[in-house]
Amino acid sequence: MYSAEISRTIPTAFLFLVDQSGSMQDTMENDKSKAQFVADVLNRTLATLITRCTKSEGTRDYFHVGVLGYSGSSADNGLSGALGSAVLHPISQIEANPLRVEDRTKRVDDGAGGLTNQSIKFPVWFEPQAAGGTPMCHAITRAAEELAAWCDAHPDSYPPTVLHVTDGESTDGDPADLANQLQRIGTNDGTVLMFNLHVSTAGGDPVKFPTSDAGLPDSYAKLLFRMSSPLPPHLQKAAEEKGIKATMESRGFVYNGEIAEIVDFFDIGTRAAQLR
Amino acid sequence: MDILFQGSVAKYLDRPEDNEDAYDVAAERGRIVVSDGASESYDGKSWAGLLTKAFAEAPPAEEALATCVEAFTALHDPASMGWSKAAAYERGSFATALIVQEDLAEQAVAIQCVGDSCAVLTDGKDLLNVLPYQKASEFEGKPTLLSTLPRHNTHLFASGMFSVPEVVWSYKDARPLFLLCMTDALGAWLLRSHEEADGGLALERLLEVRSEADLSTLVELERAEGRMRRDDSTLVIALL
Repeated sequence: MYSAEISRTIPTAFLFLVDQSGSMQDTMENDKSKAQFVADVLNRTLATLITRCTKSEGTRDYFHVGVLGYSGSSADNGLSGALGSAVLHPISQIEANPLRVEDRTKRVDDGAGGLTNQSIKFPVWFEPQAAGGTPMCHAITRAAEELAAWCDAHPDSYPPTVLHVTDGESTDGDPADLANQLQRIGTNDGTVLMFNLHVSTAGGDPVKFPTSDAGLPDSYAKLLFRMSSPLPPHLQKAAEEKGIKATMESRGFVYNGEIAEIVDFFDIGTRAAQLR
Repeated sequence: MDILFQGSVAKYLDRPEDNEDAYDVAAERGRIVVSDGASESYDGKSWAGLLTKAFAEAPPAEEALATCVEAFTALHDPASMGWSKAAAYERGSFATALIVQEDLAEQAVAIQCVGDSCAVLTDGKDLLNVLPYQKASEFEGKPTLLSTLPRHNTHLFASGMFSVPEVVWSYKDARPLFLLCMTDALGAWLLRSHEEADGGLALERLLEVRSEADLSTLVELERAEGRMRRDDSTLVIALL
């Protein structure tokens, strides 16, 4: 299980579930709103995925990618424009259709022990939004519909991965059972993997792939931990290669952390050790 | 050395242009170079080609590597690229290098290796020497490779000076022997088969390859059976 090659012939899928409810307006310890933090995380993660797939001749469709945003009483396609017609798209379509590409400055190693400014292009697909309720159950149900159809169409693919980003305050019921059902959908290679990123104003150190809910700051974090898939062995290994402690009991739960590196866990061919 | 076979099969037979392996054989000079461009590279194919060409002519020295980087840089103009290509280019391109030099006088072959391309010395029955790995499971890790970005090549300066480790295998009084040079999917398959005590069947089949059609038949069968990873697969067989 979880051993299917990821290739242009048999791609895998990433579906982002993004909380856009009113509570996401709250400000985090880093002075960003949760909604801004989530938008940055999502845009950076999409860019990371695309960069991995891009070669001199263009972006190869190793992944199908979609975003479902949820607020009020609905869960809708979180991407717009040319990407608004369907939820999941080959990644080359995501690459070709950002909302805009911003010029930003990044501090990088100057090779002489110091730092220097480097101009970079920062694509934006997803704007911060925060309004209304948190229909998490509805969103997970919608994700299940999308992924069931995708798995039917790609029976031999590595199973889809859901990256759910939320502050955990569901307003349409307990999502735990629905999350379990979502994780029963799958391909011949395994069932859907669900990662949950909990963004919180409670502060504290980021937590990645804990083995239990002990020490998590609140009931929302504990709920999201229970909703998260156990890490299969190859993902434990991938996490360890990035210096993240992971064991057989670890779950795909991250608290106030970075998830862009999670998309690095999925092999699309040989990657140099230097790119860890 | 007599070259019994040299050839390569792409990851997908219908996409030979995507093959990112490169090799160069100069039997009259006793030199074999194999390079495997990494999939997660902006242009691993060109990088592997440049390294192979350079190291077929000269030892893998700091100057030769710098010349390859310059040649690679000349191929691309990041300023004219869109955001995704520019970002991929900035990550670098990566490739292995396996360099063999025979010393006829000493009846030995010197092997230099960066990354996971594999050399095997065999009498046709046993694996007498293997580089760079001794176990098939070692191929599952991420290899340290040669990069187009100098900041990723610091491993070559581990001793304080540029150096690529060299191992010498003597074949004095032991001829005839075969030297196999191959990229990682073939190497992992051969070592795994050997570990599973296949009675030397994998080695025998590999040594029987005399054409790209033979190699293609072998790797497609093993891929279909799930015993060989689908990857560009390059093989050079030399009789010593």
